[in-house]
Amino acid sequence: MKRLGPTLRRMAIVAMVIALAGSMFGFRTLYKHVSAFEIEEHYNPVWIVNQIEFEVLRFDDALRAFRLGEVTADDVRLRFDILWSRTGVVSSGRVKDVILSYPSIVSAVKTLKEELKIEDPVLQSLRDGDIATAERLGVRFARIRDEIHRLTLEVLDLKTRSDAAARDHFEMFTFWTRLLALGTTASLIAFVIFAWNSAERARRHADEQERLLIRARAASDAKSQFTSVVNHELRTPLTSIKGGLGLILGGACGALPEKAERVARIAYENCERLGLIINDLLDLEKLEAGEMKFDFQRTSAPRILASVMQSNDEFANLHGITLRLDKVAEDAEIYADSSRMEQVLTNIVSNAIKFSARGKEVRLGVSQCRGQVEFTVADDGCGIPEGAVDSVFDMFTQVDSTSKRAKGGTGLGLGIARSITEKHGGAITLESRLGEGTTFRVTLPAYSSEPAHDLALAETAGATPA
Amino acid sequence: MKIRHLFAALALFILPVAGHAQAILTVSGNAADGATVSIDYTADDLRALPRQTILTNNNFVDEASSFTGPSMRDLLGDIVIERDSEVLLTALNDYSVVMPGAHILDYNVIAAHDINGVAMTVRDKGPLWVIYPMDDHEELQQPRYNNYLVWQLRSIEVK
Repeated sequence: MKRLGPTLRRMAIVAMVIALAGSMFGFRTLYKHVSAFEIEEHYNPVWIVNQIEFEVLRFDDALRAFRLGEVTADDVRLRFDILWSRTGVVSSGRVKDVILSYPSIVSAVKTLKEELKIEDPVLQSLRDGDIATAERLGVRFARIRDEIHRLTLEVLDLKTRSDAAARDHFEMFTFWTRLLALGTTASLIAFVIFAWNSAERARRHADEQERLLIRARAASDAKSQFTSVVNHELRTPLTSIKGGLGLILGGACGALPEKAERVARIAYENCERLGLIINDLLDLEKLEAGEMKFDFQRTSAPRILASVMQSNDEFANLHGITLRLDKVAEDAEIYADSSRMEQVLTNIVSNAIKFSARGKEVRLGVSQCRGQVEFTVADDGCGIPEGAVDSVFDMFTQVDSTSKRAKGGTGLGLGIARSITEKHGGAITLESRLGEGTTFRVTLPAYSSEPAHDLALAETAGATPA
Repeated sequence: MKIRHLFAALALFILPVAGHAQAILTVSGNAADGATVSIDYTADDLRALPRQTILTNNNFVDEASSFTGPSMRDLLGDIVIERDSEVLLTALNDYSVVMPGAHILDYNVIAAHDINGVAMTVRDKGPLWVIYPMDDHEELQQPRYNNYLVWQLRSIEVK
């Protein structure tokens, strides 16, 4: 019973409620019966009839004593009154309710009352020494005494039978009460099991979460360690290799044979590429961790563009590409980290150079329109297939996976560029025609004198405005 | 002869005829100094005591009735009663029951001589009926308390 369905649980709860309600009803009924039984025991019909018979006998005895001159007429009248009161007791209150189920008692009491009423005037006029009247009364009450005695026996028999019936009744109730108690206990056990089960599941869930948390922390630690390794253990020796190769190529070790120089240059270029890849990886890690810092400044957009042109000039020459400045809005200003924006644009420009055929040109421009500053980088390169336009910004993606090897790069560049642009509150879009060329547009909000705008931007990027 | 003595005793409790003030209730027990005390009350004596009226139901009446009579505490006079005293109540027909002294101390138990303003006769559970204020106390509504409602009360003996 590892996991019980909610339906089953609901059914168990309903069963428990029914069993409990049943038990309560059963106990209540039982209590009522016990009370009724107690009352009947208390005002036992046998006892009631015995009391009447007892008083009849005592009255009879008083008449006998009167005849013998032992008691007075007043003594006889007192006995008569006490007997009379007996008939009154059985005709009122709870005793009356009890004897209602014994018609023979009701009828006998009625007869006795009538007899007493008839003889009442005789008793009231009884004088001391009136033996004849006493004898007549004696005969009459001897008959009543016999009838009451017969009634006693009859009631005793009835009572015995009703006791047996009551016992059967009690046995039945006991059976049902036991059954309900058993049902309640079973439901209770089921409920405890459910509760235990659910607590156990909650505990397991908490354990699992804790385990995942520990793993997540470990992963985060590992990543930090990786960053540190990349930063210090890879980049530092790479810088030294690149420096050494640069010196060799610069002729610090004397003129190199042509073959050696070619090999050294290839090695140098590869060092440079490796450096760029490492930078990309570190940027990516920083962006993901939200740790990339931005130094926001009020900056001239054309100046950023000029700087990008300058830094890519040599690379363009190498690929036989001409960089041309198109329309330039001279007074366009943005609020940005200029070195990061240069990184974004350089990435796009270098891509344009890489994917253009020798002899073609890459056109750069900056314009301002409705509070937006837009950088454009257009080439006449191979273009991007329509279906792949959306995926160029994904990390580790290059449209043609073979081009990754031919053109170099990690495939991280555009993803990083987009993230940096978004941190500036901007966006990168592109238009491309396969075989005709591609135009990238980097749109940023124009610099505003309203401080609220800049502050919000700085908060988005996680840096303090300068 | 035994029966003769019984009737001689019974004769004492017959309702008083004009001019013959006879005792209908005997109360006995010990005073604070340990002396035995026995008080005989006639019907007139009882009616001269402060009256209490209780409106209550019990197992022997069809509906709540108004009972009037002296309180048991007043009937005891100088007789000392403790919570654990045993109070023997005896009726004309020799029915008797032992009432705990605590009942007299805790509740306003009375010896009623009137029901609904009418004097009770021997034929109607009189001349005295021990009444508990059952309707005023929930615990007194348990069936066993009906055992103490002695009618035709003849004597009270505090032990």
